[in-house]
Amino acid sequence: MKKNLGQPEDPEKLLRAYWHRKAGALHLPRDVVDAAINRAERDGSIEEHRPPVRRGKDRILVGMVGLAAAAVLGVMIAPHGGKTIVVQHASSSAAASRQMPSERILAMAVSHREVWVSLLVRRQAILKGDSPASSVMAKVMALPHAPLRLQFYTPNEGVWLTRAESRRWVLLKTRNGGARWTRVALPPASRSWVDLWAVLAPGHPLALIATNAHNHDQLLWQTSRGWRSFPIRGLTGKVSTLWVQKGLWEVSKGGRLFTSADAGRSWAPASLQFGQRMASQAKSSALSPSSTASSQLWQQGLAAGTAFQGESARWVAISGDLWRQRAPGDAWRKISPLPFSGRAVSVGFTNADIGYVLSYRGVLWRTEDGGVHWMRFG
Amino acid sequence: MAERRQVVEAWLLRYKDRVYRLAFTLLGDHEAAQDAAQEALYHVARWCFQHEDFEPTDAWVWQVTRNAVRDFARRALPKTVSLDDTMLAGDHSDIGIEVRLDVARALTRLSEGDREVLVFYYFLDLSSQEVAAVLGISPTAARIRLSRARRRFKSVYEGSSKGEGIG
Repeated sequence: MKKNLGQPEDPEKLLRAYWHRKAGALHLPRDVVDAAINRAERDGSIEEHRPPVRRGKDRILVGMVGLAAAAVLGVMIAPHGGKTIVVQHASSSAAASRQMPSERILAMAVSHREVWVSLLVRRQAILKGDSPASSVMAKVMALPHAPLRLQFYTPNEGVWLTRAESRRWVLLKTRNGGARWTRVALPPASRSWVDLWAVLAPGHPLALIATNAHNHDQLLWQTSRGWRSFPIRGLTGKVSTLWVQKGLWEVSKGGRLFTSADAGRSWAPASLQFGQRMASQAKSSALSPSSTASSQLWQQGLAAGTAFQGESARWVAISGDLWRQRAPGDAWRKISPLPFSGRAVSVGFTNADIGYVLSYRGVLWRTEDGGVHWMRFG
Repeated sequence: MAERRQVVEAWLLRYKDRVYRLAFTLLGDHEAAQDAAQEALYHVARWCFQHEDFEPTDAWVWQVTRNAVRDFARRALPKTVSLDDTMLAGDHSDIGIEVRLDVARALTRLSEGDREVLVFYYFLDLSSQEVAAVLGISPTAARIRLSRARRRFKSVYEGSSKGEGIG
């Protein structure tokens, strides 16, 4: 194609014209401002805290995990060539701990009795599993790209998903609680996908929900003969959250819930939005309906990116609070305010007492009493 | 408290579009920019609620927005050159579509630091002293960074526009 020879060459003129043309007409909707100021007003009284009684114990635990993690940083297996990644078991080393670079947690998920975190250390992502029950043991492996999503759909079955700088999607899966991760070969068309979710449900092949550049969704199932593709009915565009529980797939998108009973092939809007459902089922010990009845609760925010975990119980960090639902259909009950301000990225519990929540700023918090009290972890 | 809320709300309304545009120019995606803008406005509002005598300055708001964008970018997908309607609509004869695409492509090839300093200076019209305040560096360092970023942009843009073109 022949270029336009009449273009201006002055970089200052070009940049000013470009940005004012591209962004000059943008206006932020008023409801976004309302949501921000409502959250700020509510969170004004919530201070970040570290319970001093537990802090010493916690620091010892974190220190041991950090020592163990650092000890194996030099012998980790990167998944560039091999299909399977075996997690390394570590031992502690004081010398190694001095070399441990600063970490930032990008994603967190909980499997069977373990919490998995993805760290970004010197542009290298590290997937680390830590068993609270045996704190001297850490599992560490190196990954070539920064993580995007890390999710366990059952205590044993989970996926780790990211996109490389080359725009190639990278997907790992585990069916044994993270002891062994396997690289999944994706179809060539994946290069054109702009968003991707992977679902690994029990008794079901690995499934993908892919969104292309035209905002169209596609469902793929992994079979012995390759990938089988299905059109998706009732769902269009990027998904904010996705989880599977007792055969029912649920996604949130644009502040609304959609469910699928046929493994993602067709979707229907949930009859009530999350906040309304909480309010309609609220009992005396739940948060008062007046503060949960907002249909904008998803959009305010804080549910985007949260994860659910457990055989029947669910926990969700939303709008600055931690909520629990003992079983599908039960009332959602407020457990406690989150120990930090801003968004929660994910929440997960290994059992009824021990749970973790990851803040937007990459800080992991841990509770040992079902979410009533929280302490910084790592 | 109600009076303070009114004051803070007025500040947020004054800044909201510029915060959004700044987030958009740094992230290149409407949805991501809206999320980052809400997060920035949240932090502005929360700080204002906690400090009753505090009044935000432009430089401080840009700094908060920059931090919110950086937090978001760490979790976001790699940047792409978006061919959205704001770029492709051809009813304005400022610079042509091809030039806009070349500029966009050149910007994506710059480092985050170079792109950031160009956005602050050319899009927000901040002075070099204000850029220095936002970035937390000296005015001299800001001028040097700006000069280098401008030179790199020009080099990348000229390389791009003298090539075979896009598409």
